[in-house]
Amino acid sequence: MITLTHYLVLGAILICIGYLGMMVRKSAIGMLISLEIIFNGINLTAVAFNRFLHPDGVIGQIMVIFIITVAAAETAIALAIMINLFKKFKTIDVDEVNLMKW
Amino acid sequence: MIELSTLLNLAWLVPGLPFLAFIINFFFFRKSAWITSRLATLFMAGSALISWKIFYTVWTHPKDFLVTAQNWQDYSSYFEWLPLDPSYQSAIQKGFSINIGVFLDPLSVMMLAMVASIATLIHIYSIGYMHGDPGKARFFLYLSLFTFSMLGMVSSNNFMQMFIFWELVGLCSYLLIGFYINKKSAGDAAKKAFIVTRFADFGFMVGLVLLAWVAHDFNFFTLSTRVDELSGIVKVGLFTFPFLPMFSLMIFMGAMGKSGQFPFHIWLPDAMEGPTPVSALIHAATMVTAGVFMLARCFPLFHSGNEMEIIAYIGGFTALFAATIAIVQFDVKKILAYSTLSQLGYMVMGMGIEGAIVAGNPATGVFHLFTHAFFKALLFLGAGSLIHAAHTNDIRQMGNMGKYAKITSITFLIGTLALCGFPPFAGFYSKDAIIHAAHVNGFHGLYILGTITAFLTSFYMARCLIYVFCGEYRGEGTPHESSFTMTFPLVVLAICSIFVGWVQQDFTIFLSGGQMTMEPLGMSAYITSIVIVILGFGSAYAIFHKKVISPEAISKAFVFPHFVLEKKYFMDEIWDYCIRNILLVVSWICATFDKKIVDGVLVDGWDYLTHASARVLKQTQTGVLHTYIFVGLTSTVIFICTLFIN
Repeated sequence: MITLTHYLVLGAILICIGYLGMMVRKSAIGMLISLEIIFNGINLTAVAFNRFLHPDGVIGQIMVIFIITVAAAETAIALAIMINLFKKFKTIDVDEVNLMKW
Repeated sequence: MIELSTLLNLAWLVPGLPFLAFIINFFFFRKSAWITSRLATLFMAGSALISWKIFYTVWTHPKDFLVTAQNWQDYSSYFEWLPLDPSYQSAIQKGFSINIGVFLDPLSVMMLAMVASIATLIHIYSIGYMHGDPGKARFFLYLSLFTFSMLGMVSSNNFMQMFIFWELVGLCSYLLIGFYINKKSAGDAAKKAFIVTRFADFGFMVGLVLLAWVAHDFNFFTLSTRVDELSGIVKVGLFTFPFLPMFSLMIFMGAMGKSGQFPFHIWLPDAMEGPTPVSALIHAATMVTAGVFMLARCFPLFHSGNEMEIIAYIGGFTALFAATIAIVQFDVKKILAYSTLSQLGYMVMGMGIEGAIVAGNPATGVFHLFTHAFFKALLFLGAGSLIHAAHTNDIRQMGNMGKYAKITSITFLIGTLALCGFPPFAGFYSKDAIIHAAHVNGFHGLYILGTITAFLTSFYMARCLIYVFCGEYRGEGTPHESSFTMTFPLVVLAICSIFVGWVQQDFTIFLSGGQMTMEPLGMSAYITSIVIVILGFGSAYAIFHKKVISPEAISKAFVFPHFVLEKKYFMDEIWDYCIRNILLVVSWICATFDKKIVDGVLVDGWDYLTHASARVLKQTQTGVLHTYIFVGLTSTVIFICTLFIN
């Protein structure tokens, strides 16, 4: 029997993996993928809560759809930035790109 | 009697016509001196005619013009220029605003007629005097503007309109003193006059702010009914003081500046740098009497306060002080300027004495203002005519002028007798009324001051006459009598100087709206006055003409007093010292405080603080994306964790 706890633990693991990926990956693409993993962990948690705690409601599912939509848009922007980044620096290694300061 | 409303409508024209002349000349005829002078004179004459019509009506019906706090609105025609506090309510008045308009009571009607008539005569005189001057058109522009301002000031019914026009006449005075723009001394004198009077007007302004703050009212008449209420102690900010004495002294400071009372007298002798008609109109007959006019206007407000005694003593002191300086002057206009100061001292003394006693009568001081305007304008115009003839201001270079300029000489003599107070000339009735008032009201010190000043007046005027009319002509060229436009005003003013003194009784009745009378001067006053004039003339004759004791011997015997008098009691130097060593030091301290503390610590301090903290905090911005992500996510986690801990 798979209970709510299992889903939550899986979601937490996914978030942690994504978090770790964000921290350690140098490639911007890698960081983007890690971000997607975090989103998926959150999505899983949300639908799990919806199914187990409030089976008649749809709020959790609507939230997930929103997150997916926003994530898609955000990915598109991130990729566009990366293309420009590559054009300028000939790399997408974020450690090389330290412009985000004063 | 014509309708009051008609009179009020006519009264708008009295200051209105000179203003119209100014506007028309300014926009259309600035280039043509011929048109400017004729137009200005014509409009001025119209204004004078209207003012006489009004004056005649009020003079023949004094009882109908008894203006009080209840009916003042019937006698004024005004518009609300600037509403300050429409919601203000008091027992006698609704709303608090600055009104501009005309107002007819005996005092203002008298001033309107006096100013307008003398201004007309001086306009006529100026046509001759300024003939051929390249700035003639400009001169008439300023003259029209001045007359408008002066007429506007005397027809105000509230302090604020008075103040506005007060400053306007100050501006015109500045422009006209500095009329000869190529002369440095004229420019300096203009600046001096402007700055000194402005310095004094600061007191006036503080008084007005206090008045607005405490009384919420500027009207002379509604204020005069609140004397008891306003005499109480008020608290303004950190200061606690009795309101009315404080207010009257502040206002009087402005009057001291305009009317050249000690120690603000220093600008008036220098103001003689202006053209002579200007000296006659502004610095003898009208503008300088504004201070006395103001004291008369505020008379019910200041009445029977102790501060009036201070005012009386300042006036008495100025009278004597200026008269002593006049003795050693050689410039005919300077002599007359100090004489004006001295006579203004008399007027202020008269106002002060009458204000200090219970049944005071402002007519004493005001009547001297009235007569003085005629004979002093006459003397100045006469002096202008002499200067025109001899091409110098220095009386040492004149002499035997009676032979060359008969009309000028005779009228000048009449003016001198009127000034010295020789009965039955005008000065006697007004000046001796003031001295008499000091005597009967127990101001013995002022009585003695006034009498000595009367003697000195006769002495220095006789000295002036001897230099100008006796001996042989000592100047260059041959002097000649002035043209008709210049002698005509002299004759008119001379006739006035003989006769205006005789209306003393009627004048008092007129001025008080039929409420007061003045007892005629007794035989003793006639005898004293005649004796004093003869003494003054006799001693001047003995010293300066017969040389019983030659003037040089006297100045050798009294070297130091003579030096002090020649240096005008060092008043210019004292002012200069005060300004350099006190005013500038204080302003240096203020400036340093402003630069170092206000700008340095408060303004630049904040800037420095922001910069310094930014320099420290910007080190946290590495520009490396991973740092940002780490900080962002970790702080989110920590934040969520703290929620669960609680």
